[in-house]
Amino acid sequence: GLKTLHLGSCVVTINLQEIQHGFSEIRDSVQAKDDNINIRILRSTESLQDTKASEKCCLLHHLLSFYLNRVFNNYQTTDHPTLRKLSSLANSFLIIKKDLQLCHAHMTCQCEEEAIAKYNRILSHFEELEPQAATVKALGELDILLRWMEES
Amino acid sequence: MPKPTNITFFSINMKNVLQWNPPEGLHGIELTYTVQYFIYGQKKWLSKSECRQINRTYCDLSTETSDYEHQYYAKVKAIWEANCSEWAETERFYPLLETQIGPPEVALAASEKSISIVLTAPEKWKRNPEDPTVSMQQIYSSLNYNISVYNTKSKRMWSQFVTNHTLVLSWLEPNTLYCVTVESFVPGLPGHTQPSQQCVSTLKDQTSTLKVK
Repeated sequence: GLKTLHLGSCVVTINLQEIQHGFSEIRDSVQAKDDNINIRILRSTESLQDTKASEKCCLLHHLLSFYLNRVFNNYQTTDHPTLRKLSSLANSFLIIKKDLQLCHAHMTCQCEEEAIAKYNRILSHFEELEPQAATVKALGELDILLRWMEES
Repeated sequence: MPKPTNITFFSINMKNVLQWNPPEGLHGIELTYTVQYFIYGQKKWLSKSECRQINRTYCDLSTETSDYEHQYYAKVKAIWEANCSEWAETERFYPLLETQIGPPEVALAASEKSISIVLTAPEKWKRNPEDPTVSMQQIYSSLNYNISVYNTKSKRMWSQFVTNHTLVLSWLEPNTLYCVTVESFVPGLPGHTQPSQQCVSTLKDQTSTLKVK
């Protein structure tokens, strides 16, 4: 179930399968709340796997922070199983983010133009929508982000 | 007029077929159906001409959903004379996560006490036979196989997971029929389809026939 992410010189091992399984249990219910199916936040033009190797770590670090700070904790639901699943996903993201911070400390997680430009575009797609709708959509697109990680 | 029900994609090796049940309470009425599909993040619903006012309750959308990195919706409505139902819509369909992986091709070769197994990964659905072949292995690097071997004489069975495509079963009994069942398996993907099964007999033990002479 472990997956090694090769992000340029930054190499981290994550339990991607556990995260994918966790999200699969809330995926349909979250996606069903997304009424704006003509907008996609994580677009293939900004995909992680098609980013320059040396900038993948930076883009992923930004995306994890985005999900932690603007998605997981803003998602409104009274459904406790979903809340539990969200906190488990958030914990997994925190662990990965810590590993990426180690890379940052070892100067292997440089942020340059491409990563920043891609992240800003993703943010602008997110901000096209009203906050709660954007949060629902971003959470519903977690399967896309996990696919990007799988492909990296 | 009630909507069609249970609208879902049935997908094997990325052959993606939309299927549904007739609306409830309208049995015996000659209904037709019209299908549309939507690429998540795009702007509008699209029609498939071959699935406009059809009698059957399925529509092959493999061509329209062949880019497995995209996600899709589909919807269907029922029509009867001048009446038509509301649209019945699928959940978001992500072929990459939702297709089932078909069984591999299995080639067996037996000797006296061993059987060699060669597996060929299933192929992704393709529009035309002349189109280049894409193996499901290329799409799912973590594709592996669950092999079960059944000794028809001793009635014993054992299984093992393998990731490579060749395997030799050793220390078998001569002159015995063995049946090999193989399922494809990708961690995280939905269940698997019908396994493929083949049987082969190990050869007679040559040493014992020589002694008899």
